[in-house]
Amino acid sequence: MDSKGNSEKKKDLTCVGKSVRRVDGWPKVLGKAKYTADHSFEGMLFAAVKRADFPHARIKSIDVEGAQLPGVEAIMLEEDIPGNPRFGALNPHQPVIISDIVRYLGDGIALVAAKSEKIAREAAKRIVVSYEELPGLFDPREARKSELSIHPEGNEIVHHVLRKGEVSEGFAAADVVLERDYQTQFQEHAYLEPEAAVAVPQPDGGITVYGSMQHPFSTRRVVARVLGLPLAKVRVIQGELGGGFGGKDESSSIVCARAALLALKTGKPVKLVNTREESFVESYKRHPYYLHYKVGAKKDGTLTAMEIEIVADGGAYASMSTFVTWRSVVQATGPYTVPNVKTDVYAYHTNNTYTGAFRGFGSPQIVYASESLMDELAAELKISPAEIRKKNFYQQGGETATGQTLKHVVSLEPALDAVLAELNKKPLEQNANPVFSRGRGFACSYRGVALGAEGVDATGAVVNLLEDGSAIVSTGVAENGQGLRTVFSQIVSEELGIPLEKIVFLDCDTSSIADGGPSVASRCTIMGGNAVRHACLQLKERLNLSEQPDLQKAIKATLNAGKSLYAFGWHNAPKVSWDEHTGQGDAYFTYVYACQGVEVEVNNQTGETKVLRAVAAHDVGMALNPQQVELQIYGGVTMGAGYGLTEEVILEKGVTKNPNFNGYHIPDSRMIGEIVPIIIENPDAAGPFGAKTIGEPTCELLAPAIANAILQATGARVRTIPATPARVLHAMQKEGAPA
Amino acid sequence: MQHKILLTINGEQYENFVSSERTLLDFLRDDLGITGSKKGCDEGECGACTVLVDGIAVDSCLMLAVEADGCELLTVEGLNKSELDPLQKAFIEHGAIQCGYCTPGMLLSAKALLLEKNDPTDDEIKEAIAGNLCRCTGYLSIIDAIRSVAKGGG
Amino acid sequence: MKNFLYGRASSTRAAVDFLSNRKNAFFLAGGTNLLDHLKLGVEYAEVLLDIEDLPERELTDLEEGGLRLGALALNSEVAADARVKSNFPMLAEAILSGASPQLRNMATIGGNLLQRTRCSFFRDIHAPCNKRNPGSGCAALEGAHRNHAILGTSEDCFATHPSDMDVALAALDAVLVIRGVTGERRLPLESFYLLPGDTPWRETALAHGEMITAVELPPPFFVHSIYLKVRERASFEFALAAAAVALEVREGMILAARVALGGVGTVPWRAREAERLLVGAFATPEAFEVAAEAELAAALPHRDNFFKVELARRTLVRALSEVAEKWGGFE
Repeated sequence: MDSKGNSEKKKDLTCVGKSVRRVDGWPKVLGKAKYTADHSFEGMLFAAVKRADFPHARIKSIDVEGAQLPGVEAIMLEEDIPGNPRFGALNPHQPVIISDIVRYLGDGIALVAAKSEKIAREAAKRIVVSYEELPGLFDPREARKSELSIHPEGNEIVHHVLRKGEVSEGFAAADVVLERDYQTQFQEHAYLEPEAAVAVPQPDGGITVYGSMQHPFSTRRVVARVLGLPLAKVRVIQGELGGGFGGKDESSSIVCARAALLALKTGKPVKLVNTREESFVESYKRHPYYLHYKVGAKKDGTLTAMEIEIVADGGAYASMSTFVTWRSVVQATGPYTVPNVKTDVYAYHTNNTYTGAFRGFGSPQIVYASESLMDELAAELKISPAEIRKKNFYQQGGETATGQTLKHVVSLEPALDAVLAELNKKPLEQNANPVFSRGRGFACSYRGVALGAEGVDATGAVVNLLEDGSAIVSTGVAENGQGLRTVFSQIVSEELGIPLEKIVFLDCDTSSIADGGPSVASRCTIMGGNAVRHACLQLKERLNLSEQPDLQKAIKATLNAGKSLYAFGWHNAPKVSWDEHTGQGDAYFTYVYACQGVEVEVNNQTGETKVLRAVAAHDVGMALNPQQVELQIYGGVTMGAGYGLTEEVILEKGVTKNPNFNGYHIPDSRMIGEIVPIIIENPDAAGPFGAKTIGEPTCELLAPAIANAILQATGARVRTIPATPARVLHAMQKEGAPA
Repeated sequence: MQHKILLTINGEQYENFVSSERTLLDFLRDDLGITGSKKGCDEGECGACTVLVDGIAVDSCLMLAVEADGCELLTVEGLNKSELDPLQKAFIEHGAIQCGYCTPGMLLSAKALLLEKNDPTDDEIKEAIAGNLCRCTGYLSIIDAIRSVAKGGG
Repeated sequence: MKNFLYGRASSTRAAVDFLSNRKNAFFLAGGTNLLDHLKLGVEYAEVLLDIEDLPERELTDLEEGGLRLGALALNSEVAADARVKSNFPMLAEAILSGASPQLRNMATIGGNLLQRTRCSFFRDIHAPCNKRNPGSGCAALEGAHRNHAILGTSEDCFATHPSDMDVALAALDAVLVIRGVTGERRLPLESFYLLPGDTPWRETALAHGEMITAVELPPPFFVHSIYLKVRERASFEFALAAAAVALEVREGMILAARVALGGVGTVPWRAREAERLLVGAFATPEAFEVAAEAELAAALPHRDNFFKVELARRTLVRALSEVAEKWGGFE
């Protein structure tokens, strides 16, 4: 796929661009990698949380008398919190524990520390809370209209607008106007490791927290605020992370803050580990969206206008809703040139579990809707799904819905062509058994890289080159299992010419490196990678490697000259802009493009859908480690299949009905027959060695591809995901499809 | 109620007192500090706690420690002898590891399969790990890794 | 889990005697369901009597190809047994379609027979549930009940029986051997399970202290059979609908039929009405439609599980068709 110039450039590289093995594979296969719950300290206590019994209620009294069991060392209520009991990135209204009004069933009311987990849990159970039940809101569309307000500031969390051209003129000029409604579900991150923290009080009155979190610096901010300590006295060390997918931000900060509160109070180390059920009930989810799309097009498929209204369920607290829905407003049209666009995205509070960051971050919902819509429109116009897309794809030099000119290579068409070529390599062969119908479908997307105009986007890295030519590397973004240690080590190896075996990657410790912002938005490679590179470039200059290519000699000479071989690199993202009144601006500094296709087999009689084969083409700028890129694709495609077919947190009046894996079905080993990854490389000036991103785009495309394939197989359109057998059956009956 | 139990873990003899309601998983992790086996769901759904009891893969979160009295256990810590088990090598080689939390249980389910069949079909491999959830890899590289060991006669 | 006394039974007789005299005491075999319930607080135990050392683990031949499964035989052992695979393939298919390898390595035949519903309200000790807490009401009526039963339901309870194996055993005319203080008795599986009625907490005919010691399978009359299961995920999931079907077809005519449904009943559902209509009919798609339709005529769906009526009907028709195919197709 890559252009010739790029292959040439790659050939000169010794480590970057190669599928080197994970540098952290050994401890993981040996069972020696230390996840947070594996940590243990002398005299350690165990914590448990008393949570709300109603999704919306006023607390009248809290009686802890019965909880004073032998072995209980501390019971804490909100009034015992030394610092500020509320936190939140945008709206600091989320409680660590609460004493007045509970707003969802995950709210904590009291903390217990005891000599054993069993005693702590038993004590928590014996805390008696009396409430005055309040009417609840469980549907954001209700919350929009309701007089009832969940927070004093109202139910609306945010309303993003995008206005381009004049939609009424666009619809007037259209030959066909189509309106469709789509709906998506609560999705759980389902990282295999539930949230955990171990807090250890320090002699100086400070605290060290080991935690299962994606963003050690966000956690430090929350813990310091809640404890009333200066940031410098809170040291947060990331444990080996058993998966995050965007889910270990507030959910983890809260667990760390609770453990820290109890540790400071008792003066002893405290461990707090959520059960799977607690994790389901307490941790935030992917936002359910209610999406209304109206699209106008000419007979030949040229789009003339799009009007979009989206209502998102933000749940009890604001969390990242504003940012998540902002990505939606930017990307809602899909990667298509539309001269007239009017988009409104709203998020409202409900008494459901709150919603926040989740791999994809506001894109899987809109990609599902807009890519279903494109197929529906193509069918209406009797042109092929590929043709309508190609007719309208963004082009290099063209303008996005937000008015941004795309200066880099826009690889939508190559991605689509690559997927179709692979998917249609063999003609679609129907199962000999007429009970089964097979179909193929695909979906395309574009995606802003990193945080964009959400906020400040910068990060740092330290490369500490030692006298024997080995090096210690640390960065402000964190290993989440995605392979960051490996890729950053590759960059150091490449730049300084030292073998991987001599590079040690330090786990993120907030006291030893500058705040590097969160490990989200698929920003680690592009932001952290650049920071690592900056540090290396400084070292190269000090080492004068162009004059003295022998590293050992250069090190000796540099040290003898009294210079340091400790370098700190800092990378600040290129400028972006946003006008919140018009939704116009250069939303992200660069974008990635992708297409995924799928072949499914639907059982006409039962509605069961099997994914036989998936093909995923992603422009990653440059693959620093092709194996790791492929792994991201495998994992993301599979997660996308779960989103499209099986995963749904069922919340009923705020109660999670399936709080464990027996009721919440993440994909298992039989979910997908085959996945063919296709890596497209168009090096981007903004990325280290031209690399952009891969983590999130992989999981935003399979659900619409599946929905489009189900249609081809059965003639039935599923407009609500997941496409469970019941929904597929229902859609088939409605369409009068063959039974 | 405390019980004295005698068992072999990874070739070493252990003699311990456990209370009757202690699960085998909690016994391993919290009493013995053998933390390679992970707790993901505590109800036998995710397989992160998989260990071999007398050569058979079980979910240690749904077994009482007292039930393991007299048994021979293999956990992830016992897989490598002087060098890595071929499965451990293959997992690294094929990129079958991301966050690594499912890896210990996954390795042991694979081990149980290969102890029983040295040349399993893909379908048998998928079935053998059907009780081990992984959220990162999409399973394909794990299946590749197990297949490579099977074909290699490991 | 709360503390309990634990002991190991040395003989079946002693175990039965011991348990009969004690409240809140349970036999512990595989424990996959019981320990889960103890953790959730659905059950409370003062005593667990571990019966895994008892000799009831063998699979022994009975006359004319019948088979006796010791109640302590593991699910995985039974599914892998050559006699089961060749003479009762439907049973092996059903077992292998349920749970995970690890759980099948732990769970016993007796334990599987006593498996309890996965109704989320039954498992949530804070929710009203007539089965767990008699007279407290049924939260599923108003609440999430997509996966609930449509056959054998009552106003008090319509929780689905979760087992796959028991559905196959129902179709196979299995007989349970039960040991009590007064001796041994035999009970057809169909009489073993009790419909919820107004006593949903009474799930089986087993008296406290009684132990299932074996399951006897009468000689197989059929050559072709199937266990067909519909679910949302490819493995390790409970059925939305399942059908166990065995037919004997000669010259296009159905001479004998054994049919049971899973995932849709409050008990493993023996489809007697379908069987009645099938026997003597020609094996045609129409006949299968008629039989399935008739069996599901009694279905009582609730707000969110209407789809199960159609799904079960289709699953049954497909299962019948597939077995008919094995007999050489339709007339």
